[in-house]
Amino acid sequence: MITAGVDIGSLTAKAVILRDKEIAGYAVIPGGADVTAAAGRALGQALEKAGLRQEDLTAIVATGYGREKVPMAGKTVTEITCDARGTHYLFPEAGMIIDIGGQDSKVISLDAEGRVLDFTMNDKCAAGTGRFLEVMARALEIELDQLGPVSLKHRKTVVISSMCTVFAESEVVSLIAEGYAREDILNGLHQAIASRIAAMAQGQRVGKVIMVGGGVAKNTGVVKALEDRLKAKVKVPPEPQIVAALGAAICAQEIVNR
Amino acid sequence: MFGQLKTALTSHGVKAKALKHPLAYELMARLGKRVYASRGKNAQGIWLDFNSRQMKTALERKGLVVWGNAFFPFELFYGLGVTPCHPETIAATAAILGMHRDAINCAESGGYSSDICSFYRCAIGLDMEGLLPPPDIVVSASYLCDGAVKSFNNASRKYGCEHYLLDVPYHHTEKSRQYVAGQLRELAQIIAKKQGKPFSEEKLAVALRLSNEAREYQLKINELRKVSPCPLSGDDATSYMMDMQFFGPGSETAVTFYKALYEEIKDRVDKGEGAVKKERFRLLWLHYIRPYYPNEIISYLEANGASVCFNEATHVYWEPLDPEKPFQSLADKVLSIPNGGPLERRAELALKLAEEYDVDGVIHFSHWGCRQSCGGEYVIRDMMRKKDIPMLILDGDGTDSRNYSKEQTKLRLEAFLEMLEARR
Repeated sequence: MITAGVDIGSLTAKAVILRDKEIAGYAVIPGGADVTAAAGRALGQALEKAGLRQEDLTAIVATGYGREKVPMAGKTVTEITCDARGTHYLFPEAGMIIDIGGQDSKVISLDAEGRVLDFTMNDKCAAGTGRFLEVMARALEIELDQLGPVSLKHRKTVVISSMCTVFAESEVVSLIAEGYAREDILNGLHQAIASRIAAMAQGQRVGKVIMVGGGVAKNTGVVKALEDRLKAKVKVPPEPQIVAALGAAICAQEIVNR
Repeated sequence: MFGQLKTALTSHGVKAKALKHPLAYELMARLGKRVYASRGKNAQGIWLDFNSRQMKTALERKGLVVWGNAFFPFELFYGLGVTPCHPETIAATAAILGMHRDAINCAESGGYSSDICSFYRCAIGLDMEGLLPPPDIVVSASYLCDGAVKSFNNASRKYGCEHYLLDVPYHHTEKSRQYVAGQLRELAQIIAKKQGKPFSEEKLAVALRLSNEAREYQLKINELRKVSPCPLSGDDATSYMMDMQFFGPGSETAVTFYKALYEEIKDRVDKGEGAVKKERFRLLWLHYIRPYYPNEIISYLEANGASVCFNEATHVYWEPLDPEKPFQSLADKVLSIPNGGPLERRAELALKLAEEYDVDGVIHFSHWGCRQSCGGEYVIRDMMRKKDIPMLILDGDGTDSRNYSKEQTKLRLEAFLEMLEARR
């Protein structure tokens, strides 16, 4: 059976093609104002990589904040459930998911079968998410993919007190003016994010194995800070942005089999 | 043309102007009662009629107008025969009518911080716009809805009338019982003196008997809510039914109201009708309120087979009142509220209700600015977790729609229902 999962996030659109138990192709593309078009493009690219056509698909499930604007999907499932399915597929031993996306972050506890036991989402603001890091990267004049490696070279401890994107940005600008090194400021930002996420995680049963997904999982500095704080084994999938889309493709299989 | 006329007639300014006139409430009472009765919702019609007539009487300045806040024992007011005014109900109604935004802006421009409970910001804003009946006396209770204490105090200064604070201690002991009873007795005498007539303990006893009569119907209603499918909509339970429990006890109308509601519910149970067509999940709603401006929370849940079968606000927590000892028994009612005092009291009740109503999950609506409810949410969640009862903490705001995000809220509700589904 061949199914597809399409995840429309706030910043990116993702699609995964699942052939039985194997990922046949995937795509991660920047989103845009036209959510439906982005979904079509992501699915088209994933199908192309898999060497398949849309007619080959038995079912499509959409997830993410734009899940209801994906006309080719037969059903929608929330990213909470999809994250759980995708994570269980990748790391069956994982008991917790930390997903930090473009504009929200979630902590999800799982049971041994990969079912959702509990979940917490951040408040209605972008503090500590991908959008937050984009603003900070701009203030520090550094490429997004360099945030992690640079922060790991830190020497001094810098404490960032504000988690509001706007206030933290001005705090970063002041720290630059005071002569603090970029790597120290970055580490301070990553520690602030990790502290916030860890508080959310500690409100639930912290599993021994935690999967960190979402775009921010590509930031090695945030992952390291989370690992240190939660004292758990942190797993990051090779492509952390496609976990929910993969979960959606698995949900599509489950729906067909039901 | 009609669109423009409709916009003009429904604008804040037009609504505000109309609602300053007692006749608007007479009209609302008559129309409301008829419209709701035609839809088989007699109780809701009685509630609207009751509130509209209270507003009308207060605006006409017939009798002594007394402002009181939620959780003050209103039996005292009905026993004294004053005209009560409860600004929290008016704030929620303003949100239903779409008048909350201007009112809240008005209060904030007057210096009220956005950290204050939005019901009080809205009420104060409405008062600044001249939409609340001027009080002769202002009364507030110090427990639970503490936003009332300072905002009512400010209102009393504005109107040059006295503000009385019912100071409610933390623990329910004999000493605190006497302390609260003493304050209530003193207040009754003050109000009677202001009315220019001697205080009648017999009239207060009548109010207590009426309160007991209403209580009996409330117990019967709550028993029927254990039936599946749940016969009462969560929207009804968290709005007019709850409001009548706060502000109606002691009045004759409360008895009529609960009797009508009981009959409606009994009829639905007999016919096997529920608030939800096919009840897949039963939910317990924690904390008293829900948003009153247009929102999709409960309608979304019900459309997806989840009924809010019980809410902690409508739980009958107090013992029958003793008309022979009116002040002591009202003091007992005040002091026995589960949301007051130690958190264990509320948490244990939440667990008991979850079990009694056989719920699949619990939603804790955490109203912005409400320290009493939000402060205990994690303790309750941990307690539910031990019993394997899933709980969703849903952040939101009862009156300030700026704190409501439709998509974010829907995502949480949808994921919660998926989680419940996966447990089947």
